[in-house]
Amino acid sequence: MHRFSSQPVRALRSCVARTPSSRSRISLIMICIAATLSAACHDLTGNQPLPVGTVDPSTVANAAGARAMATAARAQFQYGLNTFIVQSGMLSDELQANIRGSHVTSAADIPSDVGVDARQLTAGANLGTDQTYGTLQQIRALTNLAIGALLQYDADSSAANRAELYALEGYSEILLADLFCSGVPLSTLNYKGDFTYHPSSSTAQVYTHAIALLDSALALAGNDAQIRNLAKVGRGRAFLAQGNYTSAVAAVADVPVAFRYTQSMQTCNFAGCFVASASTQPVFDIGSVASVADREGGTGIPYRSSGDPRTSASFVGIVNNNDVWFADKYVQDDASIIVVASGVEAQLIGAEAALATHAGDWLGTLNALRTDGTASGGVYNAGTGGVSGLDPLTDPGTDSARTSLVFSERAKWLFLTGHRQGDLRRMVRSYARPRTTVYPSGNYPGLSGYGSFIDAPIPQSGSYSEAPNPLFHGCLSRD
Amino acid sequence: MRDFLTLTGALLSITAPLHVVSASLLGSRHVQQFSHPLIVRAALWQDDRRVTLTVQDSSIGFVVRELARQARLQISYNDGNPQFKKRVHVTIANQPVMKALSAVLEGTGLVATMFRNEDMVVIQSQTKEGKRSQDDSGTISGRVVDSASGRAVRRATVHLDRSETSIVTSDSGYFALRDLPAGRHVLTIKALGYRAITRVVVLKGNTSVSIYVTLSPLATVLSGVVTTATGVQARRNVANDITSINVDSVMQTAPIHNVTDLLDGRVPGMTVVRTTGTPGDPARIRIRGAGSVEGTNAPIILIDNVRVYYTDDNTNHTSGNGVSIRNANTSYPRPSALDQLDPNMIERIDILKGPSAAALYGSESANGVISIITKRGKAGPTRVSLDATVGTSWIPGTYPLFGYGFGHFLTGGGSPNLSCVLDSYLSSACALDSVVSYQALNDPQYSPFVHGTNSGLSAAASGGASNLGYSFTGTAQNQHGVVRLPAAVALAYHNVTGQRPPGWMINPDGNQSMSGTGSLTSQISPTITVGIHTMLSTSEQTRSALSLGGVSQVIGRFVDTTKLAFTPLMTNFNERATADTKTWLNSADGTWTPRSWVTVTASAGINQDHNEDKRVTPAGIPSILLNDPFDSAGAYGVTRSDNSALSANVGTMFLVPLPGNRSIRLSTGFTGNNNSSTISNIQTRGFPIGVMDPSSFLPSETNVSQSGSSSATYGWYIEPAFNFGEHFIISPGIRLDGGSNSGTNATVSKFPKASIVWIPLDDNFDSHFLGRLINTLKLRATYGYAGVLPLPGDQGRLMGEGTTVIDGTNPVTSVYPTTVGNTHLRPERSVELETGIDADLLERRLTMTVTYYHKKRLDAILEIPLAPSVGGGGGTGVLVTQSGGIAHLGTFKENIGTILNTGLELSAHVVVVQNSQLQWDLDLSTSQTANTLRSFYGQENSPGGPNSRLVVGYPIDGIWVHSLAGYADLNGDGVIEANEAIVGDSASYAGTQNPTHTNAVSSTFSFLNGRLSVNTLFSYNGGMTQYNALGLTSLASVATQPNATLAQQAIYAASTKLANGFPSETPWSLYQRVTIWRWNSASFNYTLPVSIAQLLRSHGASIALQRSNLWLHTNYRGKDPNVNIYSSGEGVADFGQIPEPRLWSLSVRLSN
Repeated sequence: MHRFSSQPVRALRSCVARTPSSRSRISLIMICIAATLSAACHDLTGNQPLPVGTVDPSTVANAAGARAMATAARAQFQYGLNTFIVQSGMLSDELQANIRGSHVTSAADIPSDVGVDARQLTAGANLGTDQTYGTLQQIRALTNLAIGALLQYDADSSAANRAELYALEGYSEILLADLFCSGVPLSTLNYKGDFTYHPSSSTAQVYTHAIALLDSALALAGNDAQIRNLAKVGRGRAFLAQGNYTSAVAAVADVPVAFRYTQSMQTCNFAGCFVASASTQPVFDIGSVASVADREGGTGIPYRSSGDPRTSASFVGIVNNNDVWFADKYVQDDASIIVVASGVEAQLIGAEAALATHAGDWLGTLNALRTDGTASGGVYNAGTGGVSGLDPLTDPGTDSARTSLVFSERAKWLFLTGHRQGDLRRMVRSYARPRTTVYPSGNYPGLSGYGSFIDAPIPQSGSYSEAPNPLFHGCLSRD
Repeated sequence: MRDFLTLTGALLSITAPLHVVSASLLGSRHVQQFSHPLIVRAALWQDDRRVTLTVQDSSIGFVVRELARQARLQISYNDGNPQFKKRVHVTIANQPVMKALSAVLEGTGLVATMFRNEDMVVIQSQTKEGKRSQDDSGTISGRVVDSASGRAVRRATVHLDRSETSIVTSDSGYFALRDLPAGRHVLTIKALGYRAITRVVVLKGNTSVSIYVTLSPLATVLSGVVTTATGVQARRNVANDITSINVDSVMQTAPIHNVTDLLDGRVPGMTVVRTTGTPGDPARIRIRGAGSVEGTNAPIILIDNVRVYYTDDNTNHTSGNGVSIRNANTSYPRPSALDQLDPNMIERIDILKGPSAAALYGSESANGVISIITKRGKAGPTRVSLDATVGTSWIPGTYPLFGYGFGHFLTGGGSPNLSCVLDSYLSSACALDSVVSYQALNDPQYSPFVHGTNSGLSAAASGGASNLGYSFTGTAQNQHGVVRLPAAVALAYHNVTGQRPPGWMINPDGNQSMSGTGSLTSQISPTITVGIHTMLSTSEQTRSALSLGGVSQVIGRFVDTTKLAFTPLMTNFNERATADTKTWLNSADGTWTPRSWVTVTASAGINQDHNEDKRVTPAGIPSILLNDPFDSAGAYGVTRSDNSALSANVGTMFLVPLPGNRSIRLSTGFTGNNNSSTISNIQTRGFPIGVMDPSSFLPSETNVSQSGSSSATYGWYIEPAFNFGEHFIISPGIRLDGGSNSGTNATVSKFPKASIVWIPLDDNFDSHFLGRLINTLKLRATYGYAGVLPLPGDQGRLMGEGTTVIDGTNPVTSVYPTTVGNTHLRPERSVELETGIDADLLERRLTMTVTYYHKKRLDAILEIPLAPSVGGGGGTGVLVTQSGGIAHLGTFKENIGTILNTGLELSAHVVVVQNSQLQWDLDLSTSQTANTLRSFYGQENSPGGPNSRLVVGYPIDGIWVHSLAGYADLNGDGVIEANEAIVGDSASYAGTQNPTHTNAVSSTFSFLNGRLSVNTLFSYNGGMTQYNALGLTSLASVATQPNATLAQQAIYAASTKLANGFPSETPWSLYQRVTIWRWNSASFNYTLPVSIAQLLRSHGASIALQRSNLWLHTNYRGKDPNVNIYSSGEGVADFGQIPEPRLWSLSVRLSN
């Protein structure tokens, strides 16, 4: 119901009072009433209840609202990282789809997860990576939104907050570049709700843009070592992806080994918890969607069979007639953490750069990680600073084998943290290794064989289609 | 008629041809005044309207006209009198008008007399008085009334024997001519806006003869007035085809129960689609087709220029926030706000059809404007009318029969009377004994349909003194629907519960309504007139769940009486649904004329509309009778909506006369509107037995939600009209609009218009073409823009709020966008070119209007997906809130489409026969329209209902379905299963959902000098494609029988298959191109003799026997193609709906 404010009443009284003669006053009453009612209309446009679950944007156009937007952006990053780990893990050799095998009834009806796992990532197909694309892009949108709002409403005290958001946006772009084809558009959404479509960016351009965002994070982080190290590792990761080893090493030079930036997985309602139960099926839990792989496609790492405590997995049940193995590093009580960036990763970046540039003790760096530090609660999370009981590595003697060793160590330290897909793709791009020697190949259960793709297409149909972007015209390349 | 001129003083009134009072004999001894003195000499009339005039060498006629114009007097005189051609010099400075007239007429032998309260002056010859012989001995008296409404025609002139002797009728329509000689007299009766009529009266000596005269309204293309955004205008000056409905005339001759009935079939280019035949349920109104995909296609409604809340979103909001408590969640059409108006309060309805006509109404008017003009009190004695109506209704015709196979088991003892369907037959489980046809709805024992009743009573009173007019109306209606709980079901209920079903369960459908209106208008000074008006209406509608689902449950199911207790014929019969509506409209208006050439008008009003929809399944009904056993504890849902519309209008009109009978009419003004709506929803379950309104019980299973929206528009307009001697009128104009629903970055919306009127032939000009073949010819063209507002929220970003855990332990508040909005969003703009010809032909026996329109919807708002790169994408943005909400930026509204509507409309009035015994009038209304999506970017899924697609080159409400390409019994089992029916890969166009051509013919026969009239209305609609969901059950009854052919099975299989890649079933065979022939109504009206009326203590009395929905002929295979199941979109289907009932009614009208 409307509630007339007293303002229109006063306006009416004033309007009439200003009219000189009584006769004219009477004759003008009607006009005054009309004008006053018109003025009242403006009062009536507000104070209306909004749809359930929504708030008036004007009520959050303040510092508290901006901080709440930052919270939403961080929550979205958690969710996006989760889906990325699952989908990129399946495309690489970390995970296998549980629905593979006899449940694939025809080549024309490939389940979305199998399409990713089997590298049959044809543009237009219904793929599990589609939602990952949408989610990662929305991290960008929400971080942009929150950064703009913080700058507008909380500029003085939000530098560290904005720095973290810049870093998360940078990471989301690294993940986009890692998983998707060249041609990801980096459109923008500002805090006022206006958006601008951008054309496709090449993979290198996306990494470059991510580095710029991480630069902004560094600039704003001030003395916040945690955010600074997050930005540094991210820069190192992006430079490494570009094959710029010198810059990569420089970027992570002073990141302590003990550093780690993690994301919490608190509840299965978050649609991303890592639970092992085959009967509990949140949207993206590994137990129901995928299983830890072992030598997948002949080229994969023997995650399960190697006995390496960093990649150990346990049998938890059968889903769709397939054995399901669950990574021990993620406990089954929804309280796991995922390491986004760490000092271990910084050391691994340094080791790879040293090997690639022949400018350092790459093997010593790797062995230091294997002998220095302790396990955390019996679970070997990447970036904990070391795992006891691992024997020192020996130099295999050739550059190629050395490179493989470095990547194997990365695979194990960074197991199921969303790094493997970028590593494999980098082996093809920077080290010129044939796809079939890097990615799982050969026969695929239920299908004629693995496909040839090593990246995911940007969706152009379905719910996560980029087609509404008029400047987007598909992948620039699939390499 | 050039010799007679009438000048009107009211600037907003219209100069129109007037049958002018002859100057002779007024006030003579032949005149008998029935009520009170009508005529006052100038000297006795203290009129303070002052005039100033200085002319040199001008005719007296010119001086008289100018004085009348200044004083806003109507003036009548015989222009042929040579005295008026005398040249005079006049200087008048601020003198009373009557004094000035007397001075001007001095020495001419003419005298000016004024009708008290009438603002009319008659100039007549003094020398005629007193010359009639005293030998005359007879008297002819009588009463003149409107043939359509039965109301008195005042100021009609009665000419005697083709002489100059004449008399005017009193306010009550009476006249008398005394002292007439014996013999034959010919009386000619004329009145403004009526067809002249002649009566022959024979006086025998000293006798008195009383006659009763009915005048038929004269329909001419140039006569009358219409209401536009700038005020009341003469129809002749308007370049658009604006259909006017004279409500009294229609109600006198046709069964009218609500405003929708008034509109149906009487406006070319307008389609009226009923949602159901249940009493009180609304209809969807479209003018010149649908032009908006995302916005509304409903016209705006104005009552005396004040906006009323109106939406044709016919669904109430009982579904709330996705809450699902069965039986408390049934959705019903909400009563139409339009039908809350009492037709008795309405004087006239003007329908402005397109943007070119509605340009100056601005950004909400592109779908047309329905302008309702209410009755106002006029000076004179109180006139009272009383109407009483009783009637009955029922569902006409029968439902299609279904086939049922019966057989016996081949194993297990061979049980007989098995329902032997195809599967069991082919698997040798049963042997077919017989196939029978049956339809429970046609079976009196099981059908829920009975005769309904309706009754109504209305009263009206109006009148006024010299400076105060009043009008009051009151109406009460009571309708009982055609649904009754079948006796078999009632018995089953009794068997289960041990009690008889309550009354509301037995007679679920009904509608009771009451309304009252009041209007006071006052001339508080010579220059100021003000009015206040109020209207209050309430309706209480009760509805049965049968309206939605029951019929479908009955159809296709053979009644097994042993199972009635468990599978009753009517589902949800245990739910009591009611809809209470209260509407209150208050408005005030005023006119100020500070100078003769300027008029200021202002109006303001507020319309409050409150709806309360309740659904109750009382606690204690055994679960065996319920769809949801949990409802045994009681289920309750209520949706309350409060809607408010405010309007404020201020307008000024300047009339600047120019030399050479030219003038400029400049109109400018400001209008502002605000619409707001709040909706609350409560659903709960579990309350004590016996409670029927458990609103005070809020147990744990309660869901409460609330939402609302508001919008405001405000605009300024200016429209100069250049009038070149009444022959040629050019009128450009523009409106500038702002509003809350436009994006913050949107610029001011501009709605320009321009129109041209050319009247080459007009009776007033003594111009005739081909003799009397063409009496009047008007050519017109207009071009203009109007808009449709975005919906509230389309332009603005909305944020969601929830809690999430970031640091591992503490939930914190998160805020995220749920809609991105479009800050650049602006109203849709429609641009229309309308051209037409209006003509009176064949001595005015044929009046016709032909109109062509080309209406393009520019900037059509369409919903397009947002690309993920800006945060879009369905399902993304998942955030956990405490309520489990999910946020995402899925779509985005943008002004991107272009939609074209073209059409041709024709309306005509034909006087087929006119003589002293019979008059036969035909009114024709026909229109053809075509809708095409011209351009579109993006994708839109099912914007108008199932299988609706947006495809460039096709209608926006086009139906696209996959057709049956073939079939093959691959496994040879004799059954065509879903995978054996081959469905086309792509959907093909099946037609549009709205009719492409509509036609109506109204025929009126008048006998016995108009005392008896017979009116009929026929309509024909075609070109639409409708979904016959009823046919699915029918199809099933054929395809599942043992004798079904493979082809029949294939059609059924294709209609039900859920094939990979198809979004839904493929109901190809259930869509059909439909034509509808309908005999809408027939009405027999008889005006009782005055003597009988006087016995009833009234001056006039009439009775009417009326029947509606008499006959339906259609190729539609369902029940009634004119009811609509879809609550949104444009689709039409009758599945599970109560069809339109047939209605008989008898009404009596009394008036003084």
